[in-house]
Amino acid sequence: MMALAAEGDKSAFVALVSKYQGMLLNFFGRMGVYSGDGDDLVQETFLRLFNYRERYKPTAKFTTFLYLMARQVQADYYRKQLRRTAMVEAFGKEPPQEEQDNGQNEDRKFSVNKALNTLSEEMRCVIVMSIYQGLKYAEIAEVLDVPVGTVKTRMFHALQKLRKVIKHDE
Amino acid sequence: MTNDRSYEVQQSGCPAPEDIVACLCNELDLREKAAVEKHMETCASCRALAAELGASIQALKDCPEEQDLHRDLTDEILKKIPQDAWRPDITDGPAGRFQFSFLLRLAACFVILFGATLVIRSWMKVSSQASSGAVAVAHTAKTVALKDTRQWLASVQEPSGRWDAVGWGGKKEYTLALNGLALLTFARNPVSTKENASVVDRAVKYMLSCQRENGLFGEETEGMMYNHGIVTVALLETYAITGDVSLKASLDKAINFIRKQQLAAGGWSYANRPDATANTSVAVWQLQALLLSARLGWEDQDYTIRKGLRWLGSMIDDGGQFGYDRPRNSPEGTVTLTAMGAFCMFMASETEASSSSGILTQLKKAIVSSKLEDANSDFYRCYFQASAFNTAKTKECDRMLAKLQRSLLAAQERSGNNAGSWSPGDRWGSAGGRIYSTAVAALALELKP
Repeated sequence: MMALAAEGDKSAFVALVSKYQGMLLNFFGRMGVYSGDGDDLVQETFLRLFNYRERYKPTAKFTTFLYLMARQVQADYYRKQLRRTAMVEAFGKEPPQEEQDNGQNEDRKFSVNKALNTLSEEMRCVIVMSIYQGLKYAEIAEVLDVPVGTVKTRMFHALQKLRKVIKHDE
Repeated sequence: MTNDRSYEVQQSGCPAPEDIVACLCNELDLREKAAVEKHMETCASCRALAAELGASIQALKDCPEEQDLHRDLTDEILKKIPQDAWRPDITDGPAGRFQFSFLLRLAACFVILFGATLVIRSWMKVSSQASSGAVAVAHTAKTVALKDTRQWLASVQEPSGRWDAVGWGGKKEYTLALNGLALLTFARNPVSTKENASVVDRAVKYMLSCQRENGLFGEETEGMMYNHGIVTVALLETYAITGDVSLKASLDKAINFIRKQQLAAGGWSYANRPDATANTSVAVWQLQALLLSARLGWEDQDYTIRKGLRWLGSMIDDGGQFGYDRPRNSPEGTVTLTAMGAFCMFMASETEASSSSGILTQLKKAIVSSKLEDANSDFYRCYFQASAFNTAKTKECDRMLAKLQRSLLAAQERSGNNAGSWSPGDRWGSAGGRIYSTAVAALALELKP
C-alpha cells in the first residue's frame, strides 16, 4: 500500500491515513503529548510520511517507517513545547486533564499515567511501543536506532520502576 | 550479538531478568520460551520476579485507551498536499476522461521528444562518466534500461506465469530459482502499471503451483535449496509490496521448511542430510529469506536467524573474506562469497544486533578491496557486489556501485528481439541462460547508491 502511495496513488494514501490515524493518536497520548495537540501531531506525521515517501523501502515493515516519522514529529513537538513544559514543571502541575478522574477506570488511568510520567522518555517509548502499540523488540530497536539488547534492558528496568510506583500508590 | 545466556537458559543458572520480561511479552521463540518456563517451574525467585513484572504489564494493559479519535483527519491532511502530487485518476467522469486522454496524447508527444533528447544526453553522459570515473549513474538512463528489461521479461513470460528458463539457455533444475529472480525484478520495481501487476500475478500463481506439501518449492534435487531460497525471497518481497494475504499460508510453509533444513551447526547445505556440510552460497539465500520474513512480521525467527548468522560469521577469515564451507576455503574464489556474506551481515545489522561494529567495518574494507572486474564476466558476482555496496552505505561503496552499474548499462542489449536483456555469456550463463543474466543484471542496476 505504501509503495502505491509513494507512486502517487491517492486512494492508497487515504487508506493508510484511515487505518493508522487512531493508532498514532494513541501513541502520542501515551507518550504524554497534551491531548489537544494530538490531532496536529498525527497530521504532521502523515505529511512527513508523504514528504519522505521515496525513502520507504518496500522490504521494510510499514509501521516501523511510520513510527520513525512519528518519533521525529514528537521530538520536534517537545522542542517547541520546551517553554510550556518548563512552566508546568516550575509550578509542579500535571498537564491539564480534559475530564475529572471520578470512575474506577479513570483512577487506574490516572495512576498508570502518573507512573509512566516517572519514566525517562527512552524507557517510556519502549513501554508504549511494546505494550500498547504491539511492536516487536526488533521493530522498536529499528525505530529507536538501538540494538535489540538495549530494548530488552530498557523494558525490564521500566517495568521494575513502574511496579514500584504503582505499588506505592496502592 | 547478545551472549548465549540471554536466549538460552543454562541448567545451573537463572535466565537474565530481561529474558523473563521477553518471555512474558512473547518475544522469545518457542525453544527459548520453553527453556525459561521450564526453569521457572523449579525456581521460586524467578517465579516471583515473573509475577511482579507480569503484574506491571497487566496494570498497563488494564489502563483504558488514552485518546479516542474524535474526527477523521483524512481531509485535513489531504488539503495540505498539493493536488499535482497525485497520479491522475483515469476513472473520473467522461469529461475528465476525454480531457485526460487529450492531455495524455499531448504529454506523450512531449515525452517522446524530450525523452529522446534525455536518453541521448544520458548515454553521452554515461559514456563520458565511464571514461572520467565520475560517480553518479544517470537516473534517466537507468530508468529507461530497467523499463526495457521489464518489457523484455514480460514479453517472454508464458501465459501460465512461468519463464521458460530452459528455452532461454538455462538448466532445467534451476528453473524455479531463475523464475524467482525474474519475479524479483518486478517486485523491487513497484511501478504500478496494469501490465507489471499482471506479470507479478501470473508469476506468483505459477510459483505457488510448484510448492509441495512440506513447503518446498520445486522438486527435491541437488539445487533445491537455491530454488527454494530464491523463490521464498521473491514471494516475500512480493508480499511486502502487494500485502496479498493469500500468500501468507504458502510463505509460512516455505519459511518453516527453511528452518527445518537448518543444519545443527547453523548453516544450510543442498539438503539436510547427516553427511551434509553447510556452505555460504546456499546459506545466504536462506538467511535473506528469514531476515525478510522477520521484518515483515513473521515471529519466532530470532533463534534460527542468530544461529545462522553465528555460523555465517564463522566462515570469515582474519582478512574479512568468506570461505565456502570453512574460512580460507573457496575453490571458486572469494569475491562473490565475500560479497554475499557481507551483504547478509549488513542486512542483518539493520534489524539485529548481529555483529560487532568491528566485524562490519572489516567487511566494508573487504568488499572494497576487491578489484571490480568486467560486469560481463560474472553477473551473479556483480549482483552481490552491488547489494553489498548498497547496504554498506559508505561513500567508497557508493562510488564502486556507480562504476559497476555503468559497466552493466554498457552491456545491455539495445536492439533486436532481445533489446532490454543481457547476453548470458558470463561464467554462469550456461547454467542460467538469458533469464538469469537479465534478471540478475537488472537487480544490480536498480539499486540506488
